[in-house]
Amino acid sequence: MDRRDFLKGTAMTAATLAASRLAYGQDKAAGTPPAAAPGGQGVQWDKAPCRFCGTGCHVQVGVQNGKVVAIAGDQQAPVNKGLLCVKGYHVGLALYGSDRLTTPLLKKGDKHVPISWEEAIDIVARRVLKDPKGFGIYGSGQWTIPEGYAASKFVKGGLGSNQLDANARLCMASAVTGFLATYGVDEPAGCYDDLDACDVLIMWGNNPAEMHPVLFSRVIDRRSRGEKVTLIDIGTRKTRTSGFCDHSLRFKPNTDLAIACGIAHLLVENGTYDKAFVEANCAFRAPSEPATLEGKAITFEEYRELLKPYTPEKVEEISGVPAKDLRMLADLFGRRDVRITSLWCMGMNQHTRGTAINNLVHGLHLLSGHFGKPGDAPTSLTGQPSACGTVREVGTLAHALPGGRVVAKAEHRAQMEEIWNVPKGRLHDKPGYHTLEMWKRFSTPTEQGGDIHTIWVQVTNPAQTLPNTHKLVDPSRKLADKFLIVSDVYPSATARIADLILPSAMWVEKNGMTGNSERRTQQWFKMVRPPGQARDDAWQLIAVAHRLLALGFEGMKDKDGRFLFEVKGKDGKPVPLWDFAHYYDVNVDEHLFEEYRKTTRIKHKDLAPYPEYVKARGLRWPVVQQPDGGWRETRFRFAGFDDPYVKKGRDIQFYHSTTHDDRAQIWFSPYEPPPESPDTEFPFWLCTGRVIEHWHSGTMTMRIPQLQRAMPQAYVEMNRADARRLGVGNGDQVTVETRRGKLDLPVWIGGRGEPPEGSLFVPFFDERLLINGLTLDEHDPFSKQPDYKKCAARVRRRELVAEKQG
Amino acid sequence: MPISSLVLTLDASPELRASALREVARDPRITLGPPLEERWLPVVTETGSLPEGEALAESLRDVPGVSFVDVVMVDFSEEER
Amino acid sequence: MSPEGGQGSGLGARWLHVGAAVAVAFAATGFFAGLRAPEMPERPVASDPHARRAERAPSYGELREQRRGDNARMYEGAIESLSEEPFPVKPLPVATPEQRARAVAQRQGHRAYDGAPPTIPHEIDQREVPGCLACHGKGMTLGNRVAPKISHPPYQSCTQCHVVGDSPRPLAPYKDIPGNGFVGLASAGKGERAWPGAPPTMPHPTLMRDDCASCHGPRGLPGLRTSHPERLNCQQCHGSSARLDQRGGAGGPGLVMEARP
Repeated sequence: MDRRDFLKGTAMTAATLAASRLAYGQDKAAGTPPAAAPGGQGVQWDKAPCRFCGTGCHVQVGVQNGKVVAIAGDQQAPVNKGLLCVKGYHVGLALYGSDRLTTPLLKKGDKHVPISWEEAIDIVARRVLKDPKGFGIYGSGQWTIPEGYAASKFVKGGLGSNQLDANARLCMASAVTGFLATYGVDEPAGCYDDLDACDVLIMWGNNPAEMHPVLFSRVIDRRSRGEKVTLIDIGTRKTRTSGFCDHSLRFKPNTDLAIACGIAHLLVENGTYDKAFVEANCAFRAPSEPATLEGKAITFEEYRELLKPYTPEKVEEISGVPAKDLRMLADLFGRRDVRITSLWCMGMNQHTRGTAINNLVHGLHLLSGHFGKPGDAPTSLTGQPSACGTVREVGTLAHALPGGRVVAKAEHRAQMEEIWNVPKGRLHDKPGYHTLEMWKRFSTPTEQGGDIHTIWVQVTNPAQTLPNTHKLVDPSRKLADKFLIVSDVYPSATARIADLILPSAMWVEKNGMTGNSERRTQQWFKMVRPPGQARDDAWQLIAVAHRLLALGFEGMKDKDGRFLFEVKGKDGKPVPLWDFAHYYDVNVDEHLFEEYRKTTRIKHKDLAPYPEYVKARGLRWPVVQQPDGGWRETRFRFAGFDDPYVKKGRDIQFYHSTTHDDRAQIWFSPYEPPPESPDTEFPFWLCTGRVIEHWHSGTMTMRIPQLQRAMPQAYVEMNRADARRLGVGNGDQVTVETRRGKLDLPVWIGGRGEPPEGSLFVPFFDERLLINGLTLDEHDPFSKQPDYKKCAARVRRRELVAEKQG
Repeated sequence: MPISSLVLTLDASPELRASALREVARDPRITLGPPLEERWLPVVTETGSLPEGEALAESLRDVPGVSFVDVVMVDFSEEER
Repeated sequence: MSPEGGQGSGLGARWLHVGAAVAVAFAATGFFAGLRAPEMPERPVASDPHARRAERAPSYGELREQRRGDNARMYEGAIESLSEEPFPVKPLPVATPEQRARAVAQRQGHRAYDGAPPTIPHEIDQREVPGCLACHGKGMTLGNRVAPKISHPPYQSCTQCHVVGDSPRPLAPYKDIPGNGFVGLASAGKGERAWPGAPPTMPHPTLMRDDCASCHGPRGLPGLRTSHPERLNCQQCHGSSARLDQRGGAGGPGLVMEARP
């Protein structure tokens, strides 16, 4: 094609575009209209929580002729009151991507070939028998509660090991350690009702307009009703949320600790902290030597002394947030006549000082008494639909047992041995490997200490979402004796490199229960059949357990010789659950849940019987039976007016206090520089995260045309001034590089967000542009959660790099 | 060789439209695109010089059945060389 | 752009140029045409119906300076007049089945299923607080282009539910993205009538569609417009559906089926 033809072609394109504007008044809609099922009649509707994020909205699922055909917001759901976000409205489409996995696939050479379920289950079982202690299960905050419970029972009760961890390690672990270090028990005391009552909403490194849109609407829509609510955005980048905020404060990455200390300093020095609340309910803590999650007790005077260096001017110097804004925040916290709710999610959790910053923000609320009244709450949000329900409550973590127990405590092990009816000593007392360690060992040759030989991944996508994947994932694929099993619904980045792929049923293709960010346990029924031979994840676990039993593995028997997952039918005979044709003869979810329910009392996280959840749009624990036999949920924990476990007559009681005196801990933690900061070689900060259209690694949402079209690919967001300096414009390809890897990305300036000069943002949803080859695997010392939000990077125009290489 | 993009808005009457189409198609300097909704016709003109291009566009205005001529884009790049 | 650049990069740069030129041309014409007061003295008095055709064609220079003709008239008048409803409201012709089918098909182009939030058929500011209500608050007509009035009470964060229907520049979709076999629920088309001539019931939920005029008013698609826009109390005659509106009987759980074993 010569230049003239090209110009003419271009000119014709422009003319046609213009003509279409004149003819239709707009660009012709991209793509063809979707096919449509014949209208309205014969549609069966049923409730289900949304498949995506941790908000836990309820949707109504419309099913016609065995297929999901429509979604509606559930008007009776207290979480979302009929409203959804764009992902929720399109959640039904997640089932129907054209490349659903429908048969087990085994890697032979460089190809995946179909095999039978019989064969697949046998392969998994034989990998266990090779060495049960080196067989790890890597699960997910997207596991349903019964699935997670089955996995826990399989590994801890069956294999007698603790090699079980979940991806919530990467998203919620520091929130957990923050709650434990402060209150002695996990999960928020407040709930979403706080959003209806707060006068001030502070978002710490949080972008709920995109990540928890329904909750964000719940607050800002109050403005439409004439209510006044002050929104404060404390973040490292301007986002969609910032635009709605009254105050938008930019801080230098990692300096949120200094900001929190600075506010505490002002509260103490100005005498505006809540003396009565602190005296009655709090004690003070500081980091100990050696560092422990419990730290050491300090006096108020010591606390005050430790805060002394954090004057507004000093904090301004560290963080870049003006002293007057710090005073504004301190003044707000110092007022007794406003209700303040704090929200945070990955910004504070994916942080090498995650536990510390979680503690500090809880501390601000405790110090100022903004706690325990509707609208006064420090509330951590979750990113996955059951990070709370499954990972945190069931305890699918290397150190944990169901119901808030830990493997290290003999008493806790004994309780679980009793509930599971397994022989004494079956449960192992040494915690397994946390996520990063598990994958590191999987990627290390066996003879060099890589003692994890097999990982079975369910409902998550570590090859895309682990940090520094070149170190943690890739090497394992070159080691002949390492075996990767992946249960998934689509050929995700992880499935594609797996040795064995197991096709899974998803969402309303199976029964399920999840637990959202506000302690709300939710339930749904199977509504449609999974495609091909796709089967429930819990079935897969039970089928492998039964095969192990058949192969003579003693661990899958209880102490009376019965199968660990035995369920009796109405006739009193065991149902052959391992045969999928009989899996739905009984409600396996109900049986697993009723067994799990027994474990939830010691931490006062009481759950109601299964049928209660069938009736409700979720219930917030503790759910306590009333004298009339009904079940009552709890909205505000530790608050005398609502929490039935608070002693009569007390306003507040922290009844799981680490010091056993009903006091919560107000922590001091110093600001320290992060492990990797920009320098002359790598002069930019690199932050990663999400966008509203895509959820997690995009495996589902990138297959939904409406979402994929709206946000088709990953990009690098940079400040206009930096772009000008680099000589790049919108759409130009640049190479982003860190010490761990590099990636070519198009530049988007003035797009979804606006990072300040010297920083970059890249979303992680795009499986073709894997940013986690670049991210840092440094982690918080207590929670072992890595930091995806800051590392040092450099950017170059792609042509320049090519020229140098050429 | 200046190349320009225009959109011709054709008359509402089918007869006049057809005659306009015949007339315009006869000129070798004009490349026709697919008409949209039969009324909006994208065309590309290629002429020896800019003044010739202007004259051509103006002459199109006088073709019976052409109601309006919208100039979308004019290529001046030849002059830069 | 570097003159040494190969053919490939030269073409890429050219595309950018061209794209920018087109964008600027649209923006400029729209902007000026929208802002300028009607140029009355320029316009000949239209006593002779053929006078317009006889008009001398404007030069390139004139075309750049001013807009004439039908397209120009699209923009005439102040912006505020665009959102004015036609007044007085007059009865409209009854929609034909063909018109209705066309309207339903057109709606499907922007929706995954009947009841899904429509995608946005134009570019938006991706970050700022949406200014959608400037046009969609009361609805606006601009020539044959209609900004429909919002059909539900205004929420603050429009982009929570509505995303653009096409890739925001400069991002581009992958060519080989997996397809999706979802078949969305179609619009029921029309409601039920108890007898011929009876007012039809609403065939869709009223959730998020409680301002009937948004689709059925004079600015709605031709197949969806009511024949009697002058009557304002729609629910006086047209019944909504308890089933579709998730109104369960006697404290029941709405749409939820009986609990299964």
